[in-house]
Order: sequence, then C-alpha cells, then structure tokens
Amino acid sequence: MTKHNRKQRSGLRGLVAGLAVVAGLVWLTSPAHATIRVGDSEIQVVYEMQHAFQFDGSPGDNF
Amino acid sequence: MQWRNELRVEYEYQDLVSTEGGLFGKNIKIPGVRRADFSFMYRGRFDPVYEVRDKYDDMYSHRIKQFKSFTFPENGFREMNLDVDFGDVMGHRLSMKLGKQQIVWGESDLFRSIDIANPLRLDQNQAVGEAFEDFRSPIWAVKFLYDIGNVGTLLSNVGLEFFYTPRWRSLVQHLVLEGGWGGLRYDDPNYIGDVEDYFDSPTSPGTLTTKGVPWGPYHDYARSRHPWSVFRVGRNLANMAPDSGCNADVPCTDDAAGRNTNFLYRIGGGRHTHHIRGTKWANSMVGVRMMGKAFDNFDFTLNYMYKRVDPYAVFDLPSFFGVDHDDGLGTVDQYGRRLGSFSNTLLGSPGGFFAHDPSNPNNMLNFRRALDRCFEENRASFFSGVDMLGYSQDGNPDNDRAATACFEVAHSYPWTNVFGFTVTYNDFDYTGAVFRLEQSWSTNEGRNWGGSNYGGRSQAHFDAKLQHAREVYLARLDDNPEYAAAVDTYAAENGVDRHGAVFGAPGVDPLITGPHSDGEGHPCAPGVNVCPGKKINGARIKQGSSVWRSMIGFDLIQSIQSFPGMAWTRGLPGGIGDQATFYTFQALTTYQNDNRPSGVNAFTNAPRDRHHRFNQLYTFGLSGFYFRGKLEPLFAVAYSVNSKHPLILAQSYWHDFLIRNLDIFAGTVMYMGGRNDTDGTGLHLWADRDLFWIRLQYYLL
Repeated sequence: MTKHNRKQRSGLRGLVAGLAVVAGLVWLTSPAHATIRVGDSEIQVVYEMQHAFQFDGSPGDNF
Repeated sequence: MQWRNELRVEYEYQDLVSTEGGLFGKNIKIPGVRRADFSFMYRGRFDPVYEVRDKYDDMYSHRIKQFKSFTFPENGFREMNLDVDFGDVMGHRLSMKLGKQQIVWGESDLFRSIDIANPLRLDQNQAVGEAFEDFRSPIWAVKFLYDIGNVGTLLSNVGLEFFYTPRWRSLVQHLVLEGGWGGLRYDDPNYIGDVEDYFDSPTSPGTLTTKGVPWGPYHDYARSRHPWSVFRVGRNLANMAPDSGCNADVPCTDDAAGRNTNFLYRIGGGRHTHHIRGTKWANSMVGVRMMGKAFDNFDFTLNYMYKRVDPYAVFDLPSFFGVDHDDGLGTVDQYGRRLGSFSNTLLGSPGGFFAHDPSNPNNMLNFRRALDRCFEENRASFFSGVDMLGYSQDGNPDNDRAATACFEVAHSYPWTNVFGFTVTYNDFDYTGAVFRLEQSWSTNEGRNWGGSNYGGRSQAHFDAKLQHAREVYLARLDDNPEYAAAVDTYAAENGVDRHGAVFGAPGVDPLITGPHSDGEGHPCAPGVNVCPGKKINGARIKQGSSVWRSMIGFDLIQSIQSFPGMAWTRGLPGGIGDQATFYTFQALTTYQNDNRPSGVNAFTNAPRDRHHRFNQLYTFGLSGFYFRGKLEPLFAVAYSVNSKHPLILAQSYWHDFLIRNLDIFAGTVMYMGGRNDTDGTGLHLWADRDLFWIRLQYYLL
C-alpha cells in the first residue's frame, strides 16, 4: 500500500510541475509585448469533470 | 466507470514576428518571415477512480507501470505550434506550421480513410462520444501550404499542401487490451513466472494450475475489464482474441471439455515490439495534397500519403508447427491442408517443450527453464500438463485445460501508399444540400496468412517462403567447403541433387551434419539442417491486402418546420421547429481486396470470408442550436450491415448552464449489436458495453 501511495503522489507532482511550466511560459512571454488579454481569445483555461459509465443493458450494471 | 478531471490551457501569442515591428515588436527582422504566431495547448488529465475503487486495485497490481498511466493518462503539451507566413515566394504565398499538431484531411466523419495522419486516444474513449479534435493525438510534424490561387478560368483557390513527420504513431498506440498488454501480470516486465505460483488442480489431478491471473479470462466477460479496453484475450472465440485452441474432435464452444490448450500471447514491450518510439526515418510519414475549387461550386482535394499502416499481429505459428521436418513441408491431409504437429525446433530446444512429470527429479528445474524461455526470452514454448490461465483451479471440471502454448507474437507495420480524393458539391440551386464524396485506396495493409491448417493459396505462399529459406541455405553451402564436399559425395551416391541431399528426397534421408543454427543465433534441434529463425518465419505468414474506402454523403441545413407535414413544430419551445437544423448522412464502404481468414479477426479488421470483404456502415445525424444557442443537441444513428449492428448516439450541450461560464454536456451511446458479429467497423468490440456520460465544463479564463 505504501508503494501505491508513493506512485500517486509522484503523479500529482508531475501534474503540478506541468502546470508550473505552463505558468512559466505564459509569464515569460508576457513582458515581451505579448498580448495576453485575460478574457480574450489569447488564453483560455478550462476545467472539465466527466463521469462516464459503461454498462451492459442496464445503467445500474456498470463496470 | 470513469471519473476524469481535465485542465486545459490554450494559449496563443499572436504576432511573434509582425510586419510592423519584427520579433517581439522590437524591429528585429527575420529574413523571409513576414509574420509568425506561437500557440500551445496544455492538457492534464487525472482520473482518481483508479485510486478509490477497490476493483482496480485487484485488477492491476501496483508494480505495473501502466497503472500510473490510467490515473494520469495525460499531462503535457497536447499541441504546440509555430505558424509562419513567409509571404510571397516565387509569386505565391507560402506558409508553414511547425509543431505538435493535428493533420485533418478528408471529408468524412468517424471514418479513417484519409483522416489517418493522427492516432486516436483509444484508451480514453469508446468509438463515439468525444469530439474528434479531442480524440486525435497530435504528432510532431511540419506542414507547408503553398497558396497558388486561380489557375486558368476553371480552377480557383488552388493550393498545395505538404507535410512530413519523423514521428508517425500507430492508431493503437494507446490501446487497452486485456491479456495482451496494458496492466496485466504477464505484461509486467518484472514478471518471469514463478514456479511457486502453480499447484495441482483439484479437478484434473496431474495438471499444474494457477490462481494468479488478475484479468481472469475465465471470469464473466464484463467484470474483468478496464473501462476503455477494446477487447481482451478470453474464451469466447467470437469477440475476443482466443485464449485457447480447439481440438478437432470436440465442439469449439466456451466450456467444452477437451478444448484444452491455452494460448498465451507474448507481446513484449520495448524494441522490436508493438511500441513505436522515437524520431527516426523508420517512423516517417509524408503527405501531399492539392486542393481547389472548380466550376464555382465543386471543392476538391487530391491526396497522397506514404506511411506505415496500423499494426497487425504476426503469430509465429511456424515456430510451433512441424513444417521443417520430414520432406521439409510436413504432411498434407485429404483437404490439402498442412497438418499441425510440433516442429523439431520446438521439441529440440532447451525449454521449448515441457511435460509435467512429478516423478522426474528435474521436473521443477525443467519447468523453470521453460517459464524463462516463455517470459524472459519471449520465445515459443509448450507446456504439457500446465494450465497457466487457471481454468483448472475452480470446481468446474468441464472447463479444465491441460496444456499451454506460449506464442511468440510480433507486430508488423508495412508501408502503404494511400491515394485519395474528395469532392464536395454545393447544390445551391435545387436542394440546398452539400454533397460529399471521399475515396481512398491504400495499397498495402497487413494481414496474416495462416501458417498451418490452411490449404490453397495460403499454403502455397507459405511453402514458397520456406523454399526461399532453403535456397538461401543451399546458396551458402559452399561457405563451408568441408560440409559442401560431404553433401556432394552423398548426393552422388544417392543419385540426387544438393537439395535432395540436404533436405531429403523420396527414399533418401537428408544428410545431417550439425549442429546448425537458425541464422539468428539459436541452434537448430539435433538432426535438423534448416530451422528458419523468427524473421523468416514471420515473412512466411505475413501478407498485405489493398483496401478501398469510400464515403458518399450529404449535409443539409433546414428548419424542421419546412418539411412537409412538420409545420406544427413551429409551436415547439426554443425554436426547435424554426431554427436551422443540420442533417448529415454518410454511406461508408470498406473493401478488402485480398484477405485471408485468420484466427485473429477481432484484431486485424479481417472479414471472415470473401462475402465479408465489403463492409458497409451508414450514418445519419441531426443537430442544431436552440433556446438562443444554449441547447446544442446531436442525435445520430449508425448501422453496420455485416454485423447487423445498430448504434444510437444522443448527446446535448447546455451552454451557460446556471452560470455564465459553465457548460453541461451529457450523452449516451447504445451499441445494439449482437456481440458475436465481427466486422471491419469494430463496433462489435463495444457490443456489450453501452455508455453514458455527463460532463461539467467550466471556463476559468
């Protein structure tokens, strides 16, 4: 179980690191006369959560 | 079930280089570049269901690295592109897109005919339900567009597009295939098979069996599957890759006693396997297309691509069956089929053949050696008296199995030329519809030839390849003058040629001088002069087929109330009756030009017989924006003719649901086919699993 949890944390670290790189890129280019207009089309951030159920005949019988 | 959390950041830096200011608006001019934009899209996905649901803990042991990719299927730059406008180059405008991108060609929806440059994330979705732009996996490529404009008086908007990538990726790059790869014990690179995992079967004493196969091929089909698994290795021959061979004299059904040899497919990871990695010439894909407009309302494209095709499996049956002994070709039965018998290569190699015999003091040592050969060396081996899939460990004696064949499996990605064209016709004057046509011809897509137990052309092909291997061997005979002299003497004594002396002839035994090797470093069994290695054996059963794909369809935009008898819909709320509704129809046809029956139909898109070479799928959909654009429903039906498989899709967006930045998206897909009908559409792979999803989409920025 310990091993299992460690894997989970390293995955989350990866996610956080990925976001940090994104933030860095956005920030680095911003002083260079970049046109990041928040709320405009230049940058868009979307969060999605999807629940998907696969079932065989009856939705109660999901996998 | 899946619980997917996704964060997406789309970013665009316009005018990285601009005509007015140069690089970063700093007057740094870059020669030849008129304008450049930079953009990327980051996408991270996290699915905690694999952490919170005990079922998956049991299914996927934690030491398997794929488990992590289920929880975090994506985390990185999905797209990253530099768009460069070079301005006028030799009289016309040239532009380029360099980066990780989607190359979307063709006019069809849901049909891989010309839209084949990008693979699909099959481990994140079923066949339908997700927008294709989210479904495709972008690849690193460079694409040029040369905008020519008018040519003569008939053609306008003419352009030439060219792309190249050294990073082609196959459609099945992310495929969840239970019992093949993707999170199963046997795919664990650390698993080499433990002798201690096996015990005497309670129902078939004298047979070793095991409990430790987490994907349980003997369990109920549905219960042992990953949410997005495409198919699995199991006992139902119709819709799974078969986990056993049929004995000729018993019924070939699920639980018939006597269907007793397990098949274990050794699809190894790493080099020379199904994984396609890296940036290299061997992963090249190149495409060129010309587009334009003719006679004002015909849009056309001419397409050409040179690429590798999606993989098909090569089951190395010749490493098992006896085609390299007797007269070299084995015995033929009354139907002209080659009979299967174990090859000398298998029988004579250490660990190649293990027969469980508790009275033998070296029994467990031999077992260990055979397990190593199967799991570590990925080479063919046969276990008599061993049930590696655990059928014999339960209380049911009817499903017991007494042997296991460990198959070498290779994958092949032959090159193909894809020629295609598309035409769309805007029929403004009469129907108001847009007619679409797309045709493609792929010259070579991989198929298996049956190695044994097939007659006719399959056998002829197979024999010809063996004959070739022998000729190569004879041509090299003189490299060993001592052996060549012995062969010549023996040939003269018996009145045969060298071929007869080495391989035998009627009444003449082959002259055996050994030991010989298969040319790939493995010794032949004692008493065998030629034992073709993996490569030659592979060539013996590989074969390609050209495939024609066709789409004819139309799109129509019209309000529902404008149809005869539908005027009453005007009174429906949200403008359902009088807002524009979009109707689309497609007839999709696939024709396999030269296909062979094979035991791996489910995998290779192979029809079972000549009749099924034609594969037809019809789709019809309608969609629209109602309630001031807030409600965006889509209803679609599809029907696959060969497998008699109807499909229903119903989904809808509700934009700005409750609050301004929130969209809700829900839908369902019903796969209504009988699960035993295999055809080229692949819909049967989901026939036992319908889908319902609900998605909340929040625009943070």
